[in-house]
Amino acid sequence: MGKKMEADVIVIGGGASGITAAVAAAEKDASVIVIEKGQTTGGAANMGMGFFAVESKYQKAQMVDLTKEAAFRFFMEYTHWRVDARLVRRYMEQSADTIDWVESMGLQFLGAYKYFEKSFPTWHVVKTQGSNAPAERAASNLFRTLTQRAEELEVEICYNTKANKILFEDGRVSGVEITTADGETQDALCSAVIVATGGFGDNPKMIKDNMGFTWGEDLHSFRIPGVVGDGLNMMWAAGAAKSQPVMELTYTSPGVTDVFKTLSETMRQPGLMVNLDGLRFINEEIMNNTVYTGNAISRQRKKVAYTIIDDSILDGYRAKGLDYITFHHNVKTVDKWEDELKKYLAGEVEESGLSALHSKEQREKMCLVVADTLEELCEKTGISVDNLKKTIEEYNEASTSEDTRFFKPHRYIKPLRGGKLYACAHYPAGYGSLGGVVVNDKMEVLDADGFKIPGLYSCGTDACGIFGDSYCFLLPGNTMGFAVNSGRIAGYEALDYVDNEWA
Amino acid sequence: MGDMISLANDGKPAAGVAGRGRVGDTVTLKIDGFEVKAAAGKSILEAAQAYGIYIPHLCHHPILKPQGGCKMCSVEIEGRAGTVTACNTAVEEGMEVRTKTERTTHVRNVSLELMLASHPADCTSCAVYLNCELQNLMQYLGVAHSRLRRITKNNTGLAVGGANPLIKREPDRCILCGRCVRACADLRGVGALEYRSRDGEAYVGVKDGVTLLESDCRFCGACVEVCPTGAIQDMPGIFPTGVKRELAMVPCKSACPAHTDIPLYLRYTREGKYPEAVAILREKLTFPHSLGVVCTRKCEAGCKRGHLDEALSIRNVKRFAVEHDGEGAWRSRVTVRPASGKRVAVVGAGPCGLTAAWHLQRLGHEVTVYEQREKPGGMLTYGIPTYRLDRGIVDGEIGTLSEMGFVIKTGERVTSAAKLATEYDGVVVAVGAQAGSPSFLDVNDCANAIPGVAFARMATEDALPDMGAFVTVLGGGSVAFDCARGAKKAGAAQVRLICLEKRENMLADDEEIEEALAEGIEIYSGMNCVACEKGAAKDGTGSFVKSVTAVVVNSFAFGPQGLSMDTEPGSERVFPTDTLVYATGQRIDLDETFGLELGRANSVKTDEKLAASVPGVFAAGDAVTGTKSVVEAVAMGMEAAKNVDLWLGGDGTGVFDEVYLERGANDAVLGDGCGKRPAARSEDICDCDAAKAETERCLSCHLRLDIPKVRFWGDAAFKKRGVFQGTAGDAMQVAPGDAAFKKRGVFQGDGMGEMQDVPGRSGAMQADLGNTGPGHACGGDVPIVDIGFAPETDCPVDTARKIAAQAAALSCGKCVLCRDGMAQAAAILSDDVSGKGEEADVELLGEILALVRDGAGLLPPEPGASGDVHGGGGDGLAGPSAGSGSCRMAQSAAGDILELLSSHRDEFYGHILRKRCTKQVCEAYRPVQGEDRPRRQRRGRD
Repeated sequence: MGKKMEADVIVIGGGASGITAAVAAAEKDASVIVIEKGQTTGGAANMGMGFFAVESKYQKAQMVDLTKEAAFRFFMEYTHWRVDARLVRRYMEQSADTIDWVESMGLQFLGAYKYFEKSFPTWHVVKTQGSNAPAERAASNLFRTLTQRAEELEVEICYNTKANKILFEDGRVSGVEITTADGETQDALCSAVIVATGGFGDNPKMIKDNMGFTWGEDLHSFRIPGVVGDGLNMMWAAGAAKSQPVMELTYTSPGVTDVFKTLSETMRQPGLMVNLDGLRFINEEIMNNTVYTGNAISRQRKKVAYTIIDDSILDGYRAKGLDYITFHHNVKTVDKWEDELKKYLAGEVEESGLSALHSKEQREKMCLVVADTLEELCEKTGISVDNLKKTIEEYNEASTSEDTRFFKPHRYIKPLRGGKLYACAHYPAGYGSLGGVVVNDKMEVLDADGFKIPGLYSCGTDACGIFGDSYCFLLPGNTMGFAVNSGRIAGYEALDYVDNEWA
Repeated sequence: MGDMISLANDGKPAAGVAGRGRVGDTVTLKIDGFEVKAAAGKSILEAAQAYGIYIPHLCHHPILKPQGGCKMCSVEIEGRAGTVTACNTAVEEGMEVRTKTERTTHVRNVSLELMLASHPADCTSCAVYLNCELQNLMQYLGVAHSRLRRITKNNTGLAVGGANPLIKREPDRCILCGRCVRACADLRGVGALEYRSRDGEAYVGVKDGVTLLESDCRFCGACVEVCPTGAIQDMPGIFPTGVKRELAMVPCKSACPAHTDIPLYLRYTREGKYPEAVAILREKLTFPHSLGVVCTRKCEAGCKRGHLDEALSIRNVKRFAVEHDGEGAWRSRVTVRPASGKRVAVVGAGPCGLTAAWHLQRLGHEVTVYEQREKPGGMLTYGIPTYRLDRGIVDGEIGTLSEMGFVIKTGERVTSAAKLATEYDGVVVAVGAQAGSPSFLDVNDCANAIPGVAFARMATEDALPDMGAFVTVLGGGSVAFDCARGAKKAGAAQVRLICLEKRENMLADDEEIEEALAEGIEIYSGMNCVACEKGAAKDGTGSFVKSVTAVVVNSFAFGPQGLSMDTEPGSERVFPTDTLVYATGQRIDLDETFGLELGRANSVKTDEKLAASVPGVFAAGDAVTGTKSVVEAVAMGMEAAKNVDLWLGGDGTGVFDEVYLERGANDAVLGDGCGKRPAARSEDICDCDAAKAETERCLSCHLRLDIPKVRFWGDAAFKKRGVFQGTAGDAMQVAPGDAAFKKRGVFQGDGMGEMQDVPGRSGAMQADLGNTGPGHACGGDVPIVDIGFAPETDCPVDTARKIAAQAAALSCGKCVLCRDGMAQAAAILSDDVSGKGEEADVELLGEILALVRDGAGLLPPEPGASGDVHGGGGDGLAGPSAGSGSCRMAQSAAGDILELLSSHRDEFYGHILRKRCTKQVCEAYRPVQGEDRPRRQRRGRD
């Protein structure tokens, strides 16, 4: 048995939301223990680059025309008022101050960014050392900062430690049963628990049970190791009301995306996209809104869609560069197309090890195919050849006039004029689950009757029900924004409970 | 502190170096203002860690010799220019070290950026997410690669010698820290891995360029254990999950129900130390000899080697060791506690009951064992056929156990446990599963239909009835096979065994099945009896079985309603039968009169502490679980003994904590110079040589547990900066590696150049890069970059690119600065040459090249200093004047490039800003327009 564990607040999960909650509570003089399964804080958010805020000093300096009121109205229109307006308001109201708050701990931001051209610049990207360019994984800086702040505030972070269940006494939270790095199980005592375990993106069974997707077949979402729904299961077992979790949807080509960046980015340009019936179903202009595109692909037969280009289009990219550039991948040209295509076709995906989490079937299936004729292309992909021929005729025709079907801007309608054809399959993917328990605007977890469970708080992705059915990419930075801000709220509110109700 | 031994110097004094002190001396220095004491010979990094002062590090691992290649641990020393790497710089009296300065931050950050330039940005698919040292360092340093060129790795297919069933490779995640190389060579003495190079790109490969399977790799997993990223991992599914790490990492031990310390007794057997091996066995096993013959060997199913080729013959090795135990040295080590005054009754003298009896007697309780049959031993005596297990072995083992002094009352059947509980302080019910389950065929009234367990007992007692010519056995487990083979041996003309499971799923051991087939027994697997034809018995009492009808079963399942089958229509087959043996399950021969609450198949209901429904009564073995194996009975007997001891007021520690052989430090060295591990499994352990050969196949999974974990920056040890953390502060202080390094001398010479003699290091590197320059190895000759520059005709920018590319290709791969720094410089210059340069390149190149040239901020190396020309890869602790920056080759190449570019500033800027090559030689550029060309003339008219 290890040493006695006792604190005012125990935070389960040291990810974006959990570590923020710990700092918030500790700044108000709470004693805090963080239970973290891994050896590093920041959780899934270490992959991120920044987070949402509105009316921040960066936005003011950049003359961004977006007020809290406008953002709130936009958000509630987007969600049809099916989400907790009080929580949305509190989150947005606090968001700009949270930027200042973490800056006061020594963090720096590059500025407020859009995620794609039609989105708002609400994404506050963290600056990395020695560079003024946005960088993938930049946000891990934020978690170093918060972790160091937590240590200054004497927060005890227990690494390699797993929480098993939430303990209750007289109907109130009284502690957490944990298993330490040595494999010893013990009770850690506290007055309030904040659950922030990041959902269940790495739990195919929960994904199937809660959202109906079969991972590896019709869903190819990220599976960040360890994000298996620990917290949600603990809270549900403790009587928390269940809310409908949703997948933070996007789309991907297994074995191509995240392995061969140039192939992937080229095949994600707003060109021709068809379903297995050879029909267009989307205004491809929205392909940079990955949620909308993921939604649209999910509606198609076998939940798959194909983008098709040919050498004539590639030549255009060679001459003028790509149309859509994401600064996290930052692929502007097709310089590496030939090299990557050669490697891809030679089966080097496997050797990179980067597709290791994809299933055997995916590894054998080529998502990107090359063909000399439309017939061959359809043979390889299963697309209806007759329909595809008509679609291409119509599409090429549109390039000389206009897209009367979906009103795609003319500049993105590049006709297929000849040479080899390339088709790339796109499947629904996602960043992970969102939501699962019902909370109020104090991040108190509610029971089935809508009353709070005394001492139980949840924040971050476990509690993120503010997007309704689809993540709102139009206000980018929202997942981490909600994680950090809801964590901050939970930290303050949990201590308020300990001081004023529990005591 | 006298026991502190310098790891890197092998305990040898670093003679003749002023200020460094002798090993055994303590020096006092200051790190970040904290006064720190450390043994002479320790590195600055070790000293700092011991006092809770975190210095980032990546290529350094506490059990491995320092390499100094990643530059993460760069620190500044007062009075010395530049930075040094703390991992391979020795502490000195009066030294003042600063670990966090502008300069150290710069060196670390740029070095990390350089490593990240070729590391995938996609961490989400990586299994070590949140347990990755690189990710952790990115977080700590706040660095990403965003301003650098992305470098694509091209040698991933070659890395770590290709695919194999045990080690999962994700080579894109490799950062060439070389820990795996050092673990394999220095720690294990195997040397299968090495730095290699192809097409100008270094990678970690296998010696001689063969695959790992073809190499001398012992698959010990040390490389996986020390890998800081996800580049090499264990193949999923090899180690069990949900158990403590110390068990999980040793899958044979984990799979053994008694958790016998298998790797260790294999090791002692290999060394011919059979008494030692048996002492280890005896700590957990009361019937090691019988188990050496009939164990169901779950350990072998767990054996990691089974994934590679075939599992070890653990059981047969055990038998050999036990039979060569000699005097039984373990006997003198058995703990016997003073009498407690408590009395315990054990019901059933099978392996479970006798195990419990032996331990409880040992713990001071007075034990009486009640056995209903004439002889003790349970299924060992009455179940397992004598041709499989010689009764002399069983009797001998029971005799040994009986020496403990417990009483066995044979021929006494206990009718009520509840009543027994009133007479004794504790009761253990271990009655086994003595009754056959009734057959689903309606044959219970047939004299020639016999339950398997009864048939087996009759066979052991030589009391088989007249079976006739045709014997049919139903069932596919061990008992069924024992019956079938017993019948055959007793003279039945034709024995048929019909079992539900298909051949590959049959419950019996493969060995039993094969022997049965060899003996002429017909096996009908994947079939089930659906009917039987009966006749009236000749004597008029009851009936007898004439034949059974079986059908082919395509699939089956056991549900709440019992067995459901999908049978093949028309596949019925009739088997004429003189005797029918149904070995399709056993029951516990108890009923409610026994006074305990019973469950399924009359098993005794217990809680998790094996307590039955009457206080003081415990149950264990088949009586609780239904039919299981001998080793499971033994394991459960121990569990019962522990719980009864606790019930009787004991502390419960005496059972599982028995130690009959003190564990010294493990010998970490696997490479013995004898070459490749033997591949083929041998069942026949007939002599010492065979035992040695088979045990040499062991992959020594347990050695991984001796490798300490690296402390991440958030570790609790770093929360009290400047306070000595004692043994907890840094594993190095107690020198866990002492054992590991004790045999290093086998392969190594002395001093700084010692690693040159290690197989797989310098020689291979030379061969590998032999065609790219003069002899090139750490500590050897400096390779030369031989790109010439003709000012009149060559473009200086393109020449700079060529120098950088060649320097990167000549890099031995160990040092981030020449390996990644020069590759990055080449990538940037390549863009500049082809018109894709950016203005920021000027500053970026300057920053990187200056870092490489100055050797991580060191002064330029002294001319003529030999032995450390390749400082980045230098092994051993550096003396005060030794460099720990990049190698001389890269330093001079970087200097050349900087000089070239600064003296041809116009051309350089012209390339980047105007996308023009002033020399007009770079292919990508159109000729420069301007004053050199004649003005275009107006077109004339015809």
